[in-house]
Amino acid sequence: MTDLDATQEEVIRETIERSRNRLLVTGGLFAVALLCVSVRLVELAATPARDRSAATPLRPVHLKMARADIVDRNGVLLATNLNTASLYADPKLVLDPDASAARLVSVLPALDRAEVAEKLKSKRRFVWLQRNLTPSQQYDVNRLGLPGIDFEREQRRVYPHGRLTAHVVGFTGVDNDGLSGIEKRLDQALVDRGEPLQLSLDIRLQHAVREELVEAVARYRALAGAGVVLGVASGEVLAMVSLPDFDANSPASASEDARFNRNSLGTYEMGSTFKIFTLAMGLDTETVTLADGYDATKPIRVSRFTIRDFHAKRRWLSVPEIFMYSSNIGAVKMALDVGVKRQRDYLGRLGLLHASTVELPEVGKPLVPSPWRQINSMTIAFGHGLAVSPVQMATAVAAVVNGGTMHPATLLKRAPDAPSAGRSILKPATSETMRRLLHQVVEDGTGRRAAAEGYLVGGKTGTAEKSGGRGYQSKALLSSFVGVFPINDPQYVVLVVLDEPVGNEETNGRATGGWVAAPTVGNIITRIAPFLGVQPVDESAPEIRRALLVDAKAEGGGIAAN
Amino acid sequence: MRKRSTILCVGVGVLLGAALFVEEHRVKTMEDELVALNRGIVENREAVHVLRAEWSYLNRPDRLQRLSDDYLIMQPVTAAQLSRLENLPLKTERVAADASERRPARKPVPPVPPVPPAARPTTPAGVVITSLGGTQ
Repeated sequence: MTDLDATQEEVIRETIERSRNRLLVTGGLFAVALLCVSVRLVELAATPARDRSAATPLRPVHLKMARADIVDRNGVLLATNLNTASLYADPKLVLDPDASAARLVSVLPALDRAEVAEKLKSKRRFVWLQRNLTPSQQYDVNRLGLPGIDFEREQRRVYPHGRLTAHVVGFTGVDNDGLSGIEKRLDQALVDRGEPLQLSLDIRLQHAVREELVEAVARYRALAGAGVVLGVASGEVLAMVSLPDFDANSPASASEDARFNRNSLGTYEMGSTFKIFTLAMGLDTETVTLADGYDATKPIRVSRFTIRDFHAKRRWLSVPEIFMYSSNIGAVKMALDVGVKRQRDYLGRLGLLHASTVELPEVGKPLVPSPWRQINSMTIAFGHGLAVSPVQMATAVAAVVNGGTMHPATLLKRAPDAPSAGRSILKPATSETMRRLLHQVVEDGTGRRAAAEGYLVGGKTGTAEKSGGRGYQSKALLSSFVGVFPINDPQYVVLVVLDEPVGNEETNGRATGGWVAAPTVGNIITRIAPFLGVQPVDESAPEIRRALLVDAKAEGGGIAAN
Repeated sequence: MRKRSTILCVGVGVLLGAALFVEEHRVKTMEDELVALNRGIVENREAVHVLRAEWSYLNRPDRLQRLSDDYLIMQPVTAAQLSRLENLPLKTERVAADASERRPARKPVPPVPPVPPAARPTTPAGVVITSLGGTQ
C-alpha cells in the first residue's frame, strides 16, 4: 500500500513539476510578447506623428498650375489652366487592338480607327490617343473598360473670352508652351510666377472697340481693321483689336491672315495722320508759328511725282488751315523748312524709326527709307514713304498731346503711382498748340464725323494710297483716324485703321479716313467715355471754346482760322 | 508602506498610460480629420478655379450685351444723362412752383424705348422708368 502510495506520490509530484515548468515557459513567452507590445506602444505614443505627416500633408497644398493666369486690368480672367484627362495606351497590355480601336472610335468619333489600331499594335509602351478629353468623354471611355487604356491628368490652357483678346494674349501649344502674343513673349515668366499676370487691357473697352470695328469693316467692306485705345499718361494699351481675328481656343483652325496682329506686326504708310508730327516739329523747332502759312496754289512736282492736295483750296493757307484741310503741299513745304536731319531726329524721338517696345513677339519693324533724301522727307511729311505700326502711331500721338512726354507703349498694367519712365521730347507749349489744332480738325476740318456728343474730341484723318507693285494705287486705300479725348485735358488716344474700305451711298462713294474711320472713332468714344469716367462737357460753353481756340493772331496780323 | 507606494506607482503608471493612449488616439483622429479637410480644400480650390473660368466665360461682354438687349430696357449711358452735382439747381420755392408749369430747362431725356416682347416676363408690371436722367 505504501509502495503504491510512494509511486503514486511520485507520479503526482512529477505531474505537478511538469505543469509548473510548462506554466513558467508559457508565462515567460507571454511576458516577452507583452513586453514587445508595451515597447511598441511606448514607441508609438512617445514619437510624434512625423513619419505619418510626411505622406499626408497637414497644410492644404496651394493650387499650383503649370502656367499663371492672365487677367485684364480689372481682374477679369483672360487665360487660365484647367485640369483635363488625356487618353493614352500601353500597347503591351492591350488585348485585341482592332476591337479596342473600334470601340474607342465609337465613343470618340474624332479619332481615326485605322490610326488608333496602328498605335495600339505598336511596340512602344506609351502612345497618346487623344489629349484633353471632356469629363463626359472620359466617362464614356471608362465605361468601355478596355485594358491597357488609361488617363493622364493634364492641364489645358483655356481662354474664356475666345477671340476678344486672341491677338494680345496669344495662345499656347498642346504642351502649354506659349506660341504667340503675351503667352510667347512672357512664356518663362508665366511658368515661374504664381499670381496672375495683369494686363493693361480693359475687356469692356476691348469689346466696344471690337464691336464698332466689326461694324465698320462690314459696312465699308474692308479687308481688315485695326483699333487701339491708349492711355496718354502711362502708355498703357487699354484696347487692341485686329480684324479678322480667331478663337484662341482653337488657333490651329485659324488662317495665317486671321492670326496676323495688324496693330503691332503690320506696318503701314499711315497717310495724313503723319501731319500731326510734321506740324509738331514745325512748331517745336519754331520753324513756323500759327500765323505763318504756305502757298498751296499749285501742286509740287518732284522728279516723276506730283504732290497735290486732296481737299485742294488752291490758295495761300495758314498753318492751322494746312492741318485742318490736310494740305499735302503745305506739309511738304513745312517739312522742307524743318530740314531732313531735324525731321529724322524728331521721328526717331517719337519712336517711329525703331520697332515698338510693346510686349509682343509679333512686332513689325518700321520701313525706314535709307538713304533718307529730301524726296523721302517730302513724302514722309504727309505720311508716305515711312511705314509704321498702328500701336507706334498711337504712342507717338499720345506723346504729342500729353505735354510732350514719350511713354513707351505697354500691355502690362502699371501701378497708378508708379514713376513714369517718360522722356520729354516736345515743349509743353507745342503740345498745347497741337491740342487746339487737333480739336479744330474735328470741329471744322476733315474729321467732323468723329465728334462725340458731350465729349471734346480732337484728331486727324489719314488716307493713304496703298503701294502695290509699282507705285501707288488710288483705289486701294488705307483709311485711318486718330482721335484724342478729352482734347482739353488729353487722357486717351483712339486709333482706327481700315484696310481697303469701299465707300457706299452713305459716304457718297468715298472711303477716306474722314468718311469711314472718323465716325468709328466717334462711336467708340461715345461708348467708352462713360466707362472711363470722363466727365461730359458742354462743347459750346464759352470757357471751353476759349481754351481750345486756335489763336492765329498771336503773332499779329495773321488770319484767324475759321 | 512599501506595498502602498508600489500600488500607487503602478496606479499612476496605468493612469498615465491610459491618458497617453487616449490623447494619442485623439490626435490621430484629428490628424485624419485634418487630412480629409485639406483634401476637401484642395478639391474646392480646384472647383473654384474651374468656376472662375466659367464665370469669366459667362461674363463675355458680347453675351451680357445680348442678354441686356433681350431682357432689360436699359440703354448705354449718354453724355446728356451725366452731370455734376453742383450743376443741379437747388430746389427753391419758385422752382418748385414753376415745375408744375414747365419742364426744367435741361436737355430732354430720350423717351423710354418700347419694351421688346421678350422682355415682358422679366419687367415687373407697373414699373415705369420716367425721366430721371441717369437711371435709364
